[in-house]
Amino acid sequence: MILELFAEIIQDSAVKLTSFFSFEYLVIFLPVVIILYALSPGKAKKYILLLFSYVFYVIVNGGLTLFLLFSTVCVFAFSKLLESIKSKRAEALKSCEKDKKKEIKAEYQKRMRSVLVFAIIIHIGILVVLKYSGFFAYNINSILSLCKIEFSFIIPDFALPLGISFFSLQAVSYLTDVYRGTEKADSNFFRVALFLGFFPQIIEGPICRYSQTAQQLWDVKQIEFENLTKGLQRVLYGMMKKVVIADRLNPFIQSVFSDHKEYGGIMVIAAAVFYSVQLYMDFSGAMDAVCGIGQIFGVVMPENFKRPFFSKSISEFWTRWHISLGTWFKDYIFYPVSMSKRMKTVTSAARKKIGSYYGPLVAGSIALFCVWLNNGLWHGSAWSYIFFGMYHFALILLGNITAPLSKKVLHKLRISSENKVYLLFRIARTCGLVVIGELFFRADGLKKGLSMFFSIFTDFRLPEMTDGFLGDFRLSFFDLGIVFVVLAVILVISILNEKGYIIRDLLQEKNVVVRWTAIIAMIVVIIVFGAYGDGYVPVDPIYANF
Amino acid sequence: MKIRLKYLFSSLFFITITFVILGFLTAIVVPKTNKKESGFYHASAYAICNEPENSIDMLFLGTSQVYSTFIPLQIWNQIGITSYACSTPSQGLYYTEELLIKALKTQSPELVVLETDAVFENFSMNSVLEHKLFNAVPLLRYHSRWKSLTADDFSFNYDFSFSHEGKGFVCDFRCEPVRNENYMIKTDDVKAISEKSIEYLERIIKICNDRDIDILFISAPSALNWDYTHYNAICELSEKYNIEYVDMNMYIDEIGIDWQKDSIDAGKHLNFFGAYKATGWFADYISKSGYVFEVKDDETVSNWDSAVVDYNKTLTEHNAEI
Repeated sequence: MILELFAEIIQDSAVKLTSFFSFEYLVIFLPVVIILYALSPGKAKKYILLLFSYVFYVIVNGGLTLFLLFSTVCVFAFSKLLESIKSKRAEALKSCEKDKKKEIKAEYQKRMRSVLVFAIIIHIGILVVLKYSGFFAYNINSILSLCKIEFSFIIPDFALPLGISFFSLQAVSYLTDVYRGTEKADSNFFRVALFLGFFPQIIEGPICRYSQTAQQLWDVKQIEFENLTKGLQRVLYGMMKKVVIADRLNPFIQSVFSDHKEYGGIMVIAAAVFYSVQLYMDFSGAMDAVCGIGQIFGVVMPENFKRPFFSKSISEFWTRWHISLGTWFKDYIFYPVSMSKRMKTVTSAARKKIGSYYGPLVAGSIALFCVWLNNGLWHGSAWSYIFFGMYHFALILLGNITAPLSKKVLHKLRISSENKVYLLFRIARTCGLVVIGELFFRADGLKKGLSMFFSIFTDFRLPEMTDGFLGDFRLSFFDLGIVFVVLAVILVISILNEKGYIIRDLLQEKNVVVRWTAIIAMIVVIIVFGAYGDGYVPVDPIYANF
Repeated sequence: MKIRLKYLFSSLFFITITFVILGFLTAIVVPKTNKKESGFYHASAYAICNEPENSIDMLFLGTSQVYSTFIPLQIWNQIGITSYACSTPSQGLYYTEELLIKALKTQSPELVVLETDAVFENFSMNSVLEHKLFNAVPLLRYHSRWKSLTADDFSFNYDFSFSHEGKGFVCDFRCEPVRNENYMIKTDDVKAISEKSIEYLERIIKICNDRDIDILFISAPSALNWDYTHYNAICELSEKYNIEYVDMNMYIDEIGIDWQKDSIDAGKHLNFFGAYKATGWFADYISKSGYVFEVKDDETVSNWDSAVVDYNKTLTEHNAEI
C-alpha cells in the first residue's frame, strides 16, 4: 500500500518536481536519492545518481526522455568517431613523408570538422525544430500574408523536453572540446550519460563543461557530514531567496505586466525593478539548490552567479550573471567568429582605416552580434527575446565605442576610475540599464514591452491608492518590509562574498550556538515569512521554461 | 563509529531544538479563537464541532455552493429540522470525507446531503498530502498571520468554543446578474469524474452506510458551474450507488430563482435572496420525501429557537426584496 501511495505521489509530482523547493522534490525525491545513495556500496553510487537522474527525467517528461537519451548516444558516438579520426591522423602522419604532412593534416581536419558540424547540426537542429519552428513558421506566414501570397505553413507546437536548451549546449561544448583536443573522447558511455543528465543540473543548468563535472560525478564517494550540512545550508539559502522574496513579489509583477495601463508609469518602474529582483532571486536561488545538492554528493558545481548587481558595466554584468551561458557563448561563438580567418582579414583592413583600438572592434562587434542574437533566441522564440539580446549588444557596443572618450572625460575632470562615488554611479547606472532590459524580457511581447517602456514617460503617475490597494497584490507594508530586510541580509552576505569570504566557511569557524542560531533563523524565516499556502499560487521556476 | 554517533546525536539535538522553536512559534501564530475574524481556517465548517452533541439532523457537505445556498435556520423555521452547512470553498472529496468524519464524532445526522459540485473538484494525491501536512503542522497553515499578530496572540489564551450563528450558512446580499440563463441545454454528453473523486466518494458512502445514515445527492442552482453534462454524470453515479439525487437546476422556475437578482457573481453562487428561495423549496422537498428525523428534545428546540431570532430579524429587514 505504501508503494502504491508512493507511485501515486510520484505520478502526480511530474510538474512540481521541476521546482527544487517543492514538497515533492525536497521532502520526497531528494531524501530518497540521498538515502539510497548513502546505503549503496561505493562503486554503485555513481550508478545510483545516473539511475535517479533518468528516473527524475522520466517522471517529469515521460517519453520525451528519448531526446536526452538520443543526445547522449550521439555525443558518445560522435566523440568516439572524432577520437578515432585523430588516431588515424596520428598514424598517417607517422608513416607519411615530410612534405605530405600538411596535406594529410588538412585532410583529417576536414573530416573531423565534417563530423563535428554534422553532430552540432543534429543537436542544434533538434533544438531549433522543437523550440523555434513555430516562431519561424509564424513569421514566414506573416511575410507571405504581407506579400498577399495565399499560402501558409502549419505552425507546429512541439512539447519541449525539459532542459533541452541546457543539455544541448553541454553536448555541443563537449564535442567541440574533443574536436579541439582540449578533451579526450570518453570511452565510458555511462559517465557521459551522467555528465549530461545529472538531475539537479538538468532543470536550469548550469551549463557544465566536461572537465568541470564529469570526473567528479564519476568519482563520487560516501556522503561526508560536513558536505551534507553545508550543502543543505546552501539549499536553504536558495529556498529563502525563492520562497520569501521571488514568490512574494509575483502577484504584483503579474498584475502590472498584464495590465500596465491601469497602473501608470511609476508602477511600471516598480514592476520592472521587482521583476529584476524576482528573476535574480528565483534563478540564483535555484543555482544555490543545484550547488547545494551537488555538494551533498561531494560534487563542486560551477557557480552561475557572482553578485551581478555589483557590476560596473553591462559587459561585466554578463560575466557575473548566468556565467555558464556567457562563457559558453564566449568559447563557442565569440572566439571562433572573431578569430576566424575572415575576421582576421577584416581586423587587418579595419586597423589600417580606423586605428588599432577601433580596428579590432569591428570583428569583435560582428562576433558580439552573433553572440547576442543567439543569447536572445536561446531564451525563447519571440521578438521580445531577440530585442533583449540586441538591447544588450547595443549597450556593450556603445560601451566599447565610447570607452576611450569616457577615459578622456574622466581624466579631464580629474576623477579617478577608482573613485567610490563614481563606482557607485556606474553600479547604479548598470542596474538601471539591466532593469530596462528585464522589462522587455518579461513583457508579453515586444509591442507590450515598448508600450510599457514609453508609458514610464507618457503616463508617469501613481494609480489611485484606495484602501487595500496593496492587498490586491497580496502585499502589505509588512510584506514589503520583509522583502527589504531579507534583501538587506542577502546584500551583506554578497558584500562579504565579494570580499572573498564564504559565509558557510565563516560560520563553520564559529561556535555551535552561533552556527545553529543562523541556520535555525533561516528555517524560521522560510517557514514563517515564506509566500506559500492559502492565497498563494506556487510559481514555477522561471528559467526551467527556457 | 564515535564520530558518526557524534554527528547523529548533534543532528538529533539540532532537530529537537528546531522543533521546539517552531512549536513555540506555532503557539503564537495559531488563532486564539475559532472565529473567522481570528483567521481560523474554514471557521464556519469546523464550528460544527461546537454544536451540542447529537443535535444535527441533516448534514450538508460540499463546496461553497452549500454555504451560499442552504440556510439551516430557514429549514428550522419551515420544517423544524436541524441542519448544518459543513462546507468550504473548492472542497475536494478528500476534504469532504475529513469533515464528515470530524462531524460524526459528535453528531449523528439521519441524512447527509452531498452537494455534487465537490464531485468535480479535481485534486491530486499531493494536494491531499499537503492538506494533511498543513493540518499536522499548523505553523504552515497559519504562518501568514505574522502580519496581523496582536497582543492577544502572545497571551496564549485559547477559546475554541464559539459556534457559528448561521450554522454554516454565509449571508451575502451582493448582486451580479447572470449573462446566460440558458445553461441546462440537453445533451447526452457526460462530464468526466476523476478516479480519485470516485475513490473518495465510495469512502464517504461506506462511512454513511456503516452508520445507517441516508445520503442525498443535491445540485445547487449555479448558472456558471453547472450544465447538463454534470447532471448526466451524477445521474450515473446515483444509479450506480442507488442514492437519491435531485438537481435543483432542473427546477429553477419552480424554485422561483431570478438570475438577474438572485446571484452574487453572475450565476456561480446564489445570494441571500436566491438562497432563501432555494432553501424554501428544498425544505419542502425534504418534508415530502419520507426521510425520518428524530424528534428533538426541549433543549435543542430552545437553542435553535434562540439562534433563529437574529435570522428572523434579517428576514424582516429584507422582506420587500424576498
